[in-house]
Amino acid sequence: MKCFLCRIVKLFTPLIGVLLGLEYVVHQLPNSYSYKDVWMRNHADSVMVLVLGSSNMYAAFNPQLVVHSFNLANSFQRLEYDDYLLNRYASQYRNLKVVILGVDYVNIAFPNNSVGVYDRHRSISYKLYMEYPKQTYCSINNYEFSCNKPFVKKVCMFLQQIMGNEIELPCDSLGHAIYYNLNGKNDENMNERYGEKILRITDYSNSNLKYNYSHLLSIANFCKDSNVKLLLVSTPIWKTMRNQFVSDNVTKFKGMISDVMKHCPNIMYLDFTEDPRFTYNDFYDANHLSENGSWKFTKQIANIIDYNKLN
Amino acid sequence: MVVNSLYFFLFFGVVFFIYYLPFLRKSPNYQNIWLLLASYFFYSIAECRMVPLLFGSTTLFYWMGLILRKTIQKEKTKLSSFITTLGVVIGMSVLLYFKYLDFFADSFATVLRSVGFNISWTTLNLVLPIGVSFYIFKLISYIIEIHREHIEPSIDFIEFATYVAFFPTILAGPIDRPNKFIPQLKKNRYFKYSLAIDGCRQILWGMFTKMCIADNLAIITNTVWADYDTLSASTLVVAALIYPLEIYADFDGYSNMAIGVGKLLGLKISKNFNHPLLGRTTAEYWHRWHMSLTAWILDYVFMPLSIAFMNLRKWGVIFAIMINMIIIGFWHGANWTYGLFGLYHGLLFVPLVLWNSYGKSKHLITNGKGLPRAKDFFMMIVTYILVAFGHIFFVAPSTSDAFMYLSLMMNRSFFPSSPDITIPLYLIVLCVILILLEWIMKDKEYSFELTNIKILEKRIIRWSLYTTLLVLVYVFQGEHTEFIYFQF
Repeated sequence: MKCFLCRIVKLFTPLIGVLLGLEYVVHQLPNSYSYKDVWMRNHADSVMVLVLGSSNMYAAFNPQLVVHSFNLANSFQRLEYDDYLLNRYASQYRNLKVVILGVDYVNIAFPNNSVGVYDRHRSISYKLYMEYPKQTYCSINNYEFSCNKPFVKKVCMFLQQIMGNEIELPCDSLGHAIYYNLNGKNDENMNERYGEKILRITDYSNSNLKYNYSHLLSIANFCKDSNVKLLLVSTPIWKTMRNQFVSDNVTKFKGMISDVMKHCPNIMYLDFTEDPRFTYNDFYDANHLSENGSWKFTKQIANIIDYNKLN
Repeated sequence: MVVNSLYFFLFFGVVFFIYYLPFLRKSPNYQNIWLLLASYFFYSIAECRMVPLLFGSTTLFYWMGLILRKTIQKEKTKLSSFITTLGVVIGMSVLLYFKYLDFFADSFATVLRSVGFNISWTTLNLVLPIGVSFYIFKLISYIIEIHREHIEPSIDFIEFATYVAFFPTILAGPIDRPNKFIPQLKKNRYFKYSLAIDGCRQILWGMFTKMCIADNLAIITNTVWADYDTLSASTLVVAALIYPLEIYADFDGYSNMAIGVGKLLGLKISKNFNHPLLGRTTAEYWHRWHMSLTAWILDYVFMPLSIAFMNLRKWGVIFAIMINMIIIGFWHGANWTYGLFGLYHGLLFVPLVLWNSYGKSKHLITNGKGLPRAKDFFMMIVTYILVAFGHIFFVAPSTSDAFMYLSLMMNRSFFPSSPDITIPLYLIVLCVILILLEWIMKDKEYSFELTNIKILEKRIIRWSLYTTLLVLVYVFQGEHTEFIYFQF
């Protein structure tokens, strides 16, 4: 028995050592979560317009076009995380005037599971790099290596770094996603099947809507209490995906928005979902705007902010 | 708590260390008590509500076994037959109630509606207890084996209950036979280094096939089945051809892990697969596939039936095989698709019976280059394709879906304008590794059994191989999916 256990330990010790070493190395790699967290901790006091939301807003809003703005949205960022992030830097806000929150048919129905199939590795990133309260300290979900594929990808990035290649952040200095450019556009991602794939994530069950609504309301209350204007924005969606929206669910979504608006008067809702000004080339895929579209979209938002003298 | 999860390894670690503590090793009873507690704990985590059913049926069959023994001793043949029949009926009733009642009620209502009787029928929506098909078969075989006087009934309830609820096999088999398993529980189990190492290797191999191959293939087949009505014929054909490999990697993976865990506890569990991908005929395929189930059906269904139909000669055999295969089909679940799956496989046996080749299983011979002979290889491919088509019924949610899938395979344009699915290169390589090892290790118990291989005598080579497999499991594991056979 002793011999067996010794050999098991001998076999696994170097493997676990390597794994922990790589875990440490991966933590040191630049990523959008740690970058945004550090940026906000250093500059939150100067931010006047703060953008939150999922990948739609991450791709759509370009802060270079609106002074003193920062894009804190991220791929698959649930309202739960938006709520957390807005509160995380609360003590530092000195000039915050507007919070722009992306709300749409998809993110209002993101499933209520903190370590879901689609975004487990992202949940881990919020825990590791943005200090999202951990469920338990001993949970394996607090380590990058618990999601094998993203971890292997990051280890490859580390190896590239060793070989002298610089690692590029997926966002620019103001938090806007940089990979939604037309050079990388795949026309197949404009078709129905892509939209269908995205929409499969949504869960319009009552319990799930209640969970997302509670965070939406919490964000609205925060803005009301802080005397900050809240812009709820639905970004443009290409018709192939839009046509697959279930009308009952659209009614539920709109109902939630009007409920929250009744509750807090400082809210403005802007719906660009069917905006005809956004054409084929303004989209990176059926769900996200391209650089061109982002430029157009941000201009519209900037005009609204100026017109309403929000900042 | 799935056997390839971290929680299972933590659970098993605790079970393992306590199991071999000196005071437990003093008596097999102590080890059995510990195993029984661990098994009930494991089962309660999987299906807490059904623990009373497991315990109740175990107790009932235990008492029936004791009564049966008394009647045999007193040579009361009729009473003994009655008790055995009662045992079989009770066992089957539990299965029928939980697994098939809603199905039969629905089917009956449909038939009545089709002849003009409009009846409203409320199905009970019963929850299927996990593993019920496996442990009920164990209980039935126990009572039949006592009746046939192949075994003595267990006097010790703990020993018998441990056999029924043994945690590595309760959820998805293999279906161990009492004459092989219970005697092992009567002896003290001491830690055996070679057996434990072999068990670890088997667990590792099981993890590789389940996590790297089955889980990745499942992504493709699930995607195709979710949208099959919009996809091209070539995609449907590819998905159909992939499925037998997926289900084999999944179920063989589970079985290897269960057998490996058994070996670490000093217990030998029945083999469930014998390289079925190398089957040259459907008969050979079924001799190699889910062997613990097919052996059970062979002993308790096929043999009595073939004796009953002996006068019909070949047609009697065909009739027995058809019933046999339909039962195997329906054993998987209460759906006509499984019945059709069984019927299809039964039909594949017909030419074999007519040509008298259904029972023959010749040893596979390699040619001069270590490869299969061309004729054998061709037969393996044909068998695989035939099996793959049968699995369309197995995986389809309903019979109409199965027929729709088949008709789209024939009628749709074969090649799409752009590929519907992409199979990653690494997955193709992993599947090729699996198939090659199946062939190379065809005489071994499982494909990663490294005993008696000269090149692997050096520890550094063996350890490099283990490390490589562990790294492969980590790097290429797919999204975790439930074991397919848990639903049966």
